[in-house]
Amino acid sequence: MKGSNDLLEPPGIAEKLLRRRLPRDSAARAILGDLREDYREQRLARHRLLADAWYWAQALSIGGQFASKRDRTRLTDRPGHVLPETEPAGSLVRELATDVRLAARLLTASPAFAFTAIATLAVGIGATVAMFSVLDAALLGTLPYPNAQELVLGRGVHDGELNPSVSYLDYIDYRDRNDVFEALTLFRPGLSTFTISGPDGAELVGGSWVTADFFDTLGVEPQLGRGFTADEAEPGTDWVVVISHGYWQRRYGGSPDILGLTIDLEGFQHVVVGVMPAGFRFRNDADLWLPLRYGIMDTSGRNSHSWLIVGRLSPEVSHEHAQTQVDLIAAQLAQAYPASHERKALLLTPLAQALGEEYRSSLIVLMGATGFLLLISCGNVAGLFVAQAAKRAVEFSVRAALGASRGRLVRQLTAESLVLAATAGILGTGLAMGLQRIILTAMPLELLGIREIGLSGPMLGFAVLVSSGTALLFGVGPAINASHTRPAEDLKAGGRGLAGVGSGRLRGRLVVLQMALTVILLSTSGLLLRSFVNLRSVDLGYETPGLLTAGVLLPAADYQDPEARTQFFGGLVEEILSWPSVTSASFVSHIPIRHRYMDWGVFDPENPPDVGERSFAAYSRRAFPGYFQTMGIPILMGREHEDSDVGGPPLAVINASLAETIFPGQDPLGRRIAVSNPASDLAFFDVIGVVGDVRITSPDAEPFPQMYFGYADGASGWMGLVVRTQSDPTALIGQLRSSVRERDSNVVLTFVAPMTENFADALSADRILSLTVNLFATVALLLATTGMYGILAFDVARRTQEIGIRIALGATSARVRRSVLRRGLILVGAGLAVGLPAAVVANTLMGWQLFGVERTDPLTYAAVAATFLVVAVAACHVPSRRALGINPVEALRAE
Amino acid sequence: MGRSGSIGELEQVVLLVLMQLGAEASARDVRLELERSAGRKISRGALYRTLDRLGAKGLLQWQLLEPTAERGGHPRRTFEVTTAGQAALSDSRTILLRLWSGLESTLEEQ
Repeated sequence: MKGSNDLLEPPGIAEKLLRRRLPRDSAARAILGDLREDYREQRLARHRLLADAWYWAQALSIGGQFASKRDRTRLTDRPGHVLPETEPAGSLVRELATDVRLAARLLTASPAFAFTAIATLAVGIGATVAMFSVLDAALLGTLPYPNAQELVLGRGVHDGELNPSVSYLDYIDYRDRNDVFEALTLFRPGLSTFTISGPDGAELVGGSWVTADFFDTLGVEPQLGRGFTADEAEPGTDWVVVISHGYWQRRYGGSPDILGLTIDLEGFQHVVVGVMPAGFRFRNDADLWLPLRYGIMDTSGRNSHSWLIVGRLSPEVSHEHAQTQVDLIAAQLAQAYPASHERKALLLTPLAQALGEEYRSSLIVLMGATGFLLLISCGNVAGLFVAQAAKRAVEFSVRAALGASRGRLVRQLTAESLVLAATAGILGTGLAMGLQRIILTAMPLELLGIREIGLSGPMLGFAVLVSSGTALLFGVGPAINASHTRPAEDLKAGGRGLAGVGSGRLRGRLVVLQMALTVILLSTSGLLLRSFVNLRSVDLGYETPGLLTAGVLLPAADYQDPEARTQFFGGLVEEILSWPSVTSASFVSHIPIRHRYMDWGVFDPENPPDVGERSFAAYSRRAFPGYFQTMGIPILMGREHEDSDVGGPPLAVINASLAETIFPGQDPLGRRIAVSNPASDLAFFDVIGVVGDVRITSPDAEPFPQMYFGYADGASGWMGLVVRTQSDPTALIGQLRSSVRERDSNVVLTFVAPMTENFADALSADRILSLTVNLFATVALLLATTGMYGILAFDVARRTQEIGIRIALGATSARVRRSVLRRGLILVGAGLAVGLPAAVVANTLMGWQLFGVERTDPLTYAAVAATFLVVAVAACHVPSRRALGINPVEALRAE
Repeated sequence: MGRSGSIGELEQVVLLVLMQLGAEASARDVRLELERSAGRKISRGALYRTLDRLGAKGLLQWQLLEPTAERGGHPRRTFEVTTAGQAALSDSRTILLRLWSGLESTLEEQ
């Protein structure tokens, strides 16, 4: 145990350093004693860090006064008879400054070397710092809400898997039965689109449904007016809305009279009661917030999972404690509703972490890739350094012969690497600012609302750390290597320098290391590329080319009658079908890939699940006649819905997966399915057809059981339009817009896009990840190859004389060439031997998603090895030709 | 006047402070007294250097006191101005006074 005296000990390293600086006599020990006493005083008066800093400053200053070696050795230990007079000595700092000045001068003297090294490092540092700044903002940043660390996101878990949305009724139970949350609020995950009509036409805005205490839970007060009151959720009260600062400025020019104004939203008059402050957002860029209304939204039914929960933990309540209590409530619910809640739970995650999750794995892969890139650039620069030092062997030997110590030489070279790294660090940080913008454009952090990061403290700190780290990485090894001078040999050998031998070995190792790192990057990039190609060519179950999709939103007030809605959609399809290039068109409730979710329980009523056993779930879609034909989904058995079915018994078309799931080995046609629709208890449908499976939520999600219903109970206010055309789908967009406008100017197209674009959007994250890692891998390959080229070229230059003699003695060109190639191939072989196993380990350890390709995929690794060999042999080519071109006469004369 | 008599301004001030402090003055006492009476802040390094130089010129001598735990087992050094030191101070004073003569009124007016 440390006594209180020990706590007053000065920093050990500083004291040790000072002791080494001082003469070994009792006078010097007295100085140490004085300092100790003074340090104690400092320590008692100030914070330890300040006192330590003070001690360091003193140690450096006193040490500086006794800097020269002579001072240390020519002292006597006899009282009253001390120190000789010496020339004024510089402090440590001053010496370092001299080293740095000298380093800068030396670097400007070889501008090509300095430029290459700085540029290589700046790219590595820039990419790493930029990536770090994004990672820092996305994963470690704080959210812009007061005490954001108290906020948690509550997401549903089904059977141990995240199934994020929860039902309104479950939320009520969680809210009322807990005592760990200060507030628990509910919100609709996606951005809903609303039509706002005014004298100058209809406008589409994004909005969000929230419970009344939403703003209070986040701890953000409206800038003007108020948030929602609890009774505003009750039916029969006035419709109210809170708008964003941006919308207030955009639409109303920031008018102070905004409060109390009514706006026509979906045909209903809403009173504006509040304006949120500028910059307020939550997960998306909503322009307005509406209070969740009971009975109107999906608030009935415990299987209607449409909501997410945000809670603010009471002060002093730990996250674990809250989760324990929530688990308890989940267990109570499971007891009360065994059929539906047996395997349900609620997972609490700190909000910042939950929002960053989406980006986590991509960011970590990219951070790793940039880190590798940086290491490879360091390797490259270290190689340059070694070569440079080898050229300066004579200089070092002269200095050593004149009395420079090894430490002095190492310090000089380290100063040079520091100057290089610092310059590269400054340039790299500048570069990082630009790269950061590119990263954010390619990978928008929408959920977190991060559009700009700029220069941050952590980023600068990281840049300093990375730059000095790189200086150590590429500088110190070569410096120590170069300081092994053998003055006699080096001076005898003149400029040709035998010093190249030892440094050649070090450079060889560096190149092998770079190659191994490059192999890892290349293989990761190869796997990601294959995964991406697999995703792109996956059989979706429908044809994406030649398909136009659009969302059609009817103003609710004008189309309250389901009949009117069906009529509008039917009329529009009829008109579209008359367009020349169109072969078919239809409407559906959810467009594949673009609109996910919405699954209901389903079972065979003749074979119902036991109590406690879960019924199967299937995606439920509502389709107009012609949907399957338009999409190119094959009808395997039976038929689809027809207009004449309206008014008859409820009918369903199911997909092959569902047929196989609930009627295994049986003929599903004419059978009946029971659907536990969240709104009602159970509904029964007769199966009239079986269609092919479709990847409905995303290209990488396996087809799931699906069922399609007709529009017997009317179309909803929003339907997705699909149009099959023989020409370019984008050519139809203008015509579609004008014809919708002509039919009803209040009808809004929520989006119009070719299906190929929906598909590309769904893959954009995968594409960016794969492209970026590919880019990194290419740069890495380039750097590693340059490194190898450099070492071979240097080798040939060093051996000019030897090769000249060989040629003079009759060595064949093939032989000369082989000797150069052999060295290259040994390096490549070593790089592959180290890199390939490391790559398999690295790829297995990293947890990102791959689609349709194993992490140990032999083909990828073989391709990586082959690519590497080809590029490496090409890099060997130039030096080996140069070796052939050596003229023996000149080579010998050069002696 | 020998070489040992030519002392710099800082040396002179340090010697004077030592005389004022009397026997058993440590480097630390000198530094604090310098600060108190002459309003001069001097770095420890510069002070040790000056003390050692004065010692080398034979203008002061020092002795070691028993080490203490508080000082991490290091001894304390106390300084004393030697006869040569006193002579040097006196020489220096004489020179200064000579140089000052007649200038007092001019400089005091400023």
